[in-house]
Order: sequence, then C-alpha cells, then structure tokens
Amino acid sequence: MGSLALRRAAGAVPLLLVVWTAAFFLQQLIHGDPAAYVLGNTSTAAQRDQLDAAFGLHRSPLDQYLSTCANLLSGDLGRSWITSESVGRLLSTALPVTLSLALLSTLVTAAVGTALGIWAALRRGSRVDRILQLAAGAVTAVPNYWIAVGLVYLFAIQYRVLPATGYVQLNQSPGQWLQSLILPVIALSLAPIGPIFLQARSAVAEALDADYVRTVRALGIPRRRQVLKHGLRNAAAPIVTAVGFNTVGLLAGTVAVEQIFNLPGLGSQLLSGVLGHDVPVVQGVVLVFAVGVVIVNLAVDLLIGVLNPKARRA
Amino acid sequence: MSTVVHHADSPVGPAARAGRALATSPLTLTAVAWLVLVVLTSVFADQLAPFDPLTQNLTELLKPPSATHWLGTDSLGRDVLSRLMHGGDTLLWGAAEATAIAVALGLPAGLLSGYRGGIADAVISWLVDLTFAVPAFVVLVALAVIYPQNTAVMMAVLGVLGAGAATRLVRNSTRTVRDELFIDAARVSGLPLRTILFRHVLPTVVAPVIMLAATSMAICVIVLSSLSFLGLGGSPEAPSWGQMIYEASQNITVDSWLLVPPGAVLILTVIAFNLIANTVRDALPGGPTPRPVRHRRTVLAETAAQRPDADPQTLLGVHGLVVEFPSGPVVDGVTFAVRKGEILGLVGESGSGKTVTALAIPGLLPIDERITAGSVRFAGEELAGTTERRLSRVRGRGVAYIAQEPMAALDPCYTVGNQLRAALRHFGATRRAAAARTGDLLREVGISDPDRVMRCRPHQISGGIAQRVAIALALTGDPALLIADEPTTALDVTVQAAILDLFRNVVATGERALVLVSHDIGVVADVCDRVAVMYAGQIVEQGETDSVLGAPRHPYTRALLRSMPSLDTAGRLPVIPGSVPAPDAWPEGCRFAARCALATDACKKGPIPLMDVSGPSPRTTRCVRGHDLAPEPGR
Repeated sequence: MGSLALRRAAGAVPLLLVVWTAAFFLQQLIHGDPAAYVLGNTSTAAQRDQLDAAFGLHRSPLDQYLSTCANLLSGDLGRSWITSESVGRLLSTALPVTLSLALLSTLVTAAVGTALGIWAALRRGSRVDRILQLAAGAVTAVPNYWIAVGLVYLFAIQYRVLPATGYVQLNQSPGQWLQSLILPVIALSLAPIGPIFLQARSAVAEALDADYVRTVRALGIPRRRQVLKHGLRNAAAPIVTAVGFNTVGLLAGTVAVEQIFNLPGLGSQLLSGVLGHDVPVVQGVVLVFAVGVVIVNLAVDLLIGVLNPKARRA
Repeated sequence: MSTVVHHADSPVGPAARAGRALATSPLTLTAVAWLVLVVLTSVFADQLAPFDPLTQNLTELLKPPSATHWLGTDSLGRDVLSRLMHGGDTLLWGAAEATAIAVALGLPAGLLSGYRGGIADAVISWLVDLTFAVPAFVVLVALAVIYPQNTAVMMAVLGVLGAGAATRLVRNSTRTVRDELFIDAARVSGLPLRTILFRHVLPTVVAPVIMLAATSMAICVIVLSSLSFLGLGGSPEAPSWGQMIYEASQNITVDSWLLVPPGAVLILTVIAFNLIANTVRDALPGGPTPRPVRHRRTVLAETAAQRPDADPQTLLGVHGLVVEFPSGPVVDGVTFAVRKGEILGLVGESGSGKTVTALAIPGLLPIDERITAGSVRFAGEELAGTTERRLSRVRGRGVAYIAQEPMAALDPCYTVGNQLRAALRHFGATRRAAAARTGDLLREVGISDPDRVMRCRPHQISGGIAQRVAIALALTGDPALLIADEPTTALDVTVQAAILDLFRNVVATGERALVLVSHDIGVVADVCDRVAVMYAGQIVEQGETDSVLGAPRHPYTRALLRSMPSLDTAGRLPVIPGSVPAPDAWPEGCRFAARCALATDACKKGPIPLMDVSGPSPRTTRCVRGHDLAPEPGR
C-alpha cells in the first residue's frame, strides 16, 4: 500500500514539473515588455525599470526559469508583480476556502449520488428509477454558475435565509462557516451528482445480481444486509472512481462559484491575477490545482487498493 | 489473398446500430431537432432576429415578455430573443472547433497508441496524462492572463486538452479489436498497416468517436459559456449566452426573469448533446440490455390449497410448477416430491430447466423470471407466490441452496471465516459460538486446515475448497433440505467423489434431504435414491434410480445413458443428435420427438401426458411408447 503511494507520488513529479514549466513560459508569451504589460501604457519608464529590476524580468528566460525552479525547491512560489506579496502566503490564505468548498462538495456528491444510486438499483425498471435517470442526465447539463446565481436569488434575495456572499473561517465560527458554504456547495454538487448516481446505480445493480448476493439471500439474510454489506461493498470501487473523477471537475468549478459568492479562495485569486496581469499569482494557482489533481487521483488509487480484495493479502 | 475475412458481427455494425438507435428514439430525435433549430437560428440570426441585438432602447428597460419582445428586454432595453439568437453563434462554433481539433488529434494518436503498443503507447499515454494534469477550465482562465478575450487561442488549447480524452477512448477501442480474429487474419494475409487501420480498425472506433464528439460538444459549451460568464471569452460587445447570464446576475435583485431564457437555451443544448452521446453509447456492444420486465406477483394459493401433504415424511412437494421468462415458460408443469433422508437427482442437458426449477423452490429466481402456476410446498408451507419476508424465514433454516459456481457464489470482498461467522450469527449464534462453529463446520466438510482457509478470500482458495466452503455456508442454518446445483461439475474426479461422500453423510441422519441438480448421469447414479429426468422444461421420466437407469422407459433417458462414458464402452460414444429445443420452439407433441429414433406419428399429435409405468416401485414416463420399451439394460 505504502509502496503504491510512493510510486504514484514519484510518477507525479515529472508531471508537476511539466505543468510548472508550462506555467512559467506563460510569461514569455507576453508581447513586448512584461513591465509595460503589467503597469499599462500610462506607466513611466522609471516605474517599468523598477519592476524589471525587482523581478529580474530583464534577465534571459532560461536564467529566470532556473532561479524560479531553485526558489520552488525551497518552497518559494515567487512574489506578486502587483503587490510584491509572497504568492505562497497569498495562496495559503486562499487554500482553506477552496479546500472547504471542494471537500464538502465531494462528500455531498458522494453521499447523495450513492444513496440515490442504491435506491434506484433496488427499484430497477420502475417509474422512480426512470425519472431519476432522466433527472441525472438533466442536472449534469446545468452549469454551476447558472445554478449559483439562481440559488443566490432564491435563498438570499427572495427568502433571505442564507448569506449570498462572504466567507467565515472555520475556527471563527463553525456554524457561520457552514452557512457561508451551503449555497456554493449545492451549486458545485448538483451537476456531479448525475454521473455519480448513474455509476452507483449500475455498480450496485450489478453486485445485487451477482451470485454472492444470491448466496446470502439464500441464507435468509435480510435485504438491508444484502445491499449494504455485500452490494455496496462490491460496488465501492467504481463509485470511488466516479467520485474522484468528478472531484477534479469540482475543483475547476470553484473558480466561477467563488466569484459569484465572493469567497476568497484560489479561484478568486486566479481571476484577480488574470485581470491584474499578475502572472506569478496565476502560475502559483495553476501549480496548486495540479497538485490538487495529483492528490485526488492518489487518494482514489489508494482507496481502490484498499477496496479491491485481490490487492490485499489475507 | 483477396478474401479478407470480415468480422462475424461486421465492423460497421456498431456505427449502423448507433445510427438506427438515433433515428428510432423519440427523445433523441427531439434532441437532434432542437440542435438543428439552435444551429439554424444562430446561423441565420441576422435574418431571423426581430431586433438588432445591440440596439439599446432606454424607454423599454427590463420589460417582461410581450407581443413585440417575446422574451422581454434587458437592463439596456435590448431584445432578449434577438440577443439569444445571436449569442449561440460564437459558442457553438467554438465548441465545434475545439471538438474537431480533439478528434483530429486523438483519432490518429489513439489508433497508433492502441494498435502499435510499446514505446509509442507509453509516450502517448504520458502525454494524455499530461492533458488531465490541470482541469481544462483552469488552464483557459490562466491563459487569459496573456490572451484576454482571444477565442482562437482558447479553442485551440481546449481542443488539444480534449484530445487527451479522445486518444484514450480510441486507444482502448483499438486495443479491444486489435486482438480479434479478423484483424489477425488481415495481418497474416499481408495487408499493409494503413489498410488494416483504415479498413478494419477505424470502422469499429467510429461509433465511440461520435459519442465522444457529442460529449465533447456538451463539455465545451459549458466551459466556453463559463468563460463568457466570467468576462474572459470573446468580445464583450458581442452577445453570448454566458454573458447574458452574467448580466442577469447583475440585475437579479430587480428582475430575475432574465436568468431564465439564456439558462434554458444553454441547458437544453447541453442536454441534447448528452442525449445523443448516450444513445450512441447504449447502441455500442456491451451497452445496457433492455431493462428487466417487472411482473406482478401472482397469487397461487388456490392451487396450493388443493394439495394436502399426503405423506408426513414428505419434505418438499412440487406440483405443476410453471416458471416463465418474459419470453414465455421455461419450466412447464414440473411435479416431484422429496422425502426426508432421500437424495433426489434432477438430471438433464443444459436448457432442460433443471436449474430454474431448483432456484424456483426457495424463491431465488432473477427479477424477470417468475412462478406463474403450480405449488411448492415445503414442510407444510406454501412457498410459491409468498412474500419475500416469509421466504427469507424458510431460506437457510428450511431450504438451503448451493449455487453452481462456488467461486462466484462467495463474496470476493470478505474472508471465508467472515462469511461463515456472519451466517452463523444470523442464525442466532453468539459471537464466540459462531467463531467456534466455523472451524467445526469447515472440518465437517472435509477441510483439513480450517484456520488457514478461514483467513482466505475466495480468490485465494481452490475450486474444490470453495465448493466445500459453499456447502459449509449452506449448512450454517442447519437446513432440512439442501438444493445443490451442479456441485461437482468444476471439480476433478477425486474431489468429486469426496464431495458426493459428503452429501451422503449430510442426509445420513434421516432428517435431511437433498435435491442434486446435475447433467452428469454418472454422479446421479452414484448417490441418488430417486431420479427425475428433465427435458425441455418437463420431467420425462421419474422413479427409483436403479430402476430408471437400469431399465429406462423413455428414449431420452436411454440416450443419456448411452452417451455416458464407461469402462466397457468400446470405440466412439454415441451422442444425441441435435440439441434441446429453445422454449419458443417447443413442439406441441413430444418435445424429444425430433431427436428420437423411435418417434412415430402419434408422438407429434399433441401433448404427451406422464404415464404410470409403475412396477415394484412408483415410476412415470412421458412417452407414448413407454410400455413398448422393453426393460432392456441401459448399457
């Protein structure tokens, strides 16, 4: 198990290096003087020179690349071109927001998708089953930003039961933290519930049709135990795969959703970096997202390793 | 060699099937019609739109839908319908471009990677992993730091990233066809690689690629509209659906209606693409089979009430049992009884209905099969048509079922010990008692090292051990009746003999009984007290084993005996010509007549009843010539 984790982590290193390199060379695509690009046409030559000097933008690309790589090894993601703040510090304050959002959404999609999947698998071919399948197809098509705006309208403007914007840290007030995340989490979770439901439904149905479930049924073991102990356990691996795949999608979704709910997470940092031409911030966020994807995939692999009986020694 | 072998289910099959499926599903047709409508109105927006999408009319701000403005006006007084019509153009065109790039790159890369394997596959797979390293949407947003509003760059990047998924799909489809016979034949016949790929491999990946393209369109539409929503996708002047949703969000406190038209059009368009993708996927080989038909539960109490249990020694009485699949009956009026202390053999070729009969007794038929007539009385209780709740009380303690393939019948996720202990606990044992009994049970079924076996999962034990474990599991409830379905089929001869000994011991106390389902007449001859021979859903001969096998009164029993290998058979074994007719091809008369050397016209006249041919012991046969068949030795 540990060796699998190590192998996967080692495999991710070159991948992350490529991502980082690509993100670095993003700034080489700027036409002309980067300093002019950042500061705008109204800036003076002195201001531009100052920026050039502060960030070493006059050096050769290779030179700059090597020094950013060296900095990266010591955990330094560089500094913002606009505020000169450390990108590492900027992102470490934004990370908990996005992490809360992504983790809660993953839990919600996994729980709701699996529960509905089991429910439908037990009623295969029935009217509810067909309605759920159609609904699963429909929710998948709803863009998270559209549903987010709709939720703000319904729950924050029309009924005023939940805050429309803002974020409260978990250690300040867990209750308010949860309140500030309810709408964003619903907006992010709705679409992924569809595919997770469909996967859970077919995996559980397949397990319930298997001979080993008939064996326990032939022993008179109650339906609940047949489904939860044997059906769900055998369907777990494909469900975990689907949840992992959709969590990666969720990560991307945080960008728009954070913007709408005014949550100070990585997505908001990315957008303000993009709008402010603050390339180091953008590079940093891209790298953090890549690390996030690696971690999600690693978690899926490890979980499947645990779940797959053939991977375990008795 | 010009006769290049074509695949049996023809490589164009999947694509053609997908096309047919698209044309026949009303839902999918609606989806296609919607997309055609959206595309046409987008293309001809200049001609069709009632107003200019950019003209502001400050006297008509935020008007609700009316005869002039069908979908109302926005915060600058612009006509919403006209803006919608103009707003799909860039979006759909962009999604199509990205999808085209993804397919154009992914198709050759996937073919190469899947067909060639080796280094090409490794390199391409690594590149594919790279496209999944960062979510495409994040990459596009990040790119906007350098290329704000540059849709051309975004399309290209989205296409390249989407090529990863395309490559993976094409690679996997290619992999599965690569090793098939018709490809081998083409390779052996010396066709050049290009011809093989284009003529034989490509057609099989066409349908998956269509599915992928539709899915890709759906994803691209969402991604690109999200970018417009964030103000990063294309010119802020030109209307787009995402941007319209953004404007709606800015006016949400004043007018929530504006959120509806662009949202509805966007969602319906994505649903349409997904529906098309699903229809194509379902038409692919390995797609879902038609959903099972659910039956109403039939109440069979009347038939049951008419059958008093004649003999207190009778444990199981099956009478006139009919089991139907959605296509029709597969077990047709089966009647037999099992007494305590007895082993009854249910014998016949595959397709005779013996397994379905065995499953029907404890009510374990799959969802689309059901008992439609007859009675199953166990220890005085009617089991046919009763509730799952009552059945579950009988199962395990009263009737235990041992499935055909022991390996598949044990849950791969749990150890043997866990499964046995859970069953014992279910039957009321304490934790400690269950732990102790598990070892004893395993020893009882002849496992010499129960402690090791207990810790194993099913895939870690041999077939013979798995069969013993399955029997031990069936014994956990101390059942009165055991039903064993082909318990020795997968085992070698010595293990087979040991298992049969085990069964003899199980009924030796005189309180239990066993129904042994087998196609192997030798096994039946070895252990069964009585035998019922099944053919095409009916019992054709029944009686004591010695008398039935010693002097068969049905030509089918005779033929079965002749086709059994024995030491004194010289030369070739006679096989029964032909095969068991499928349920939908059952003739009206004798079902064996077509394969029977003794058949006469009388055999084909009408249904053949069971005839009493009892001698010293009760005996029945379903043969009009049953009396003629001289009691000659069967071999």
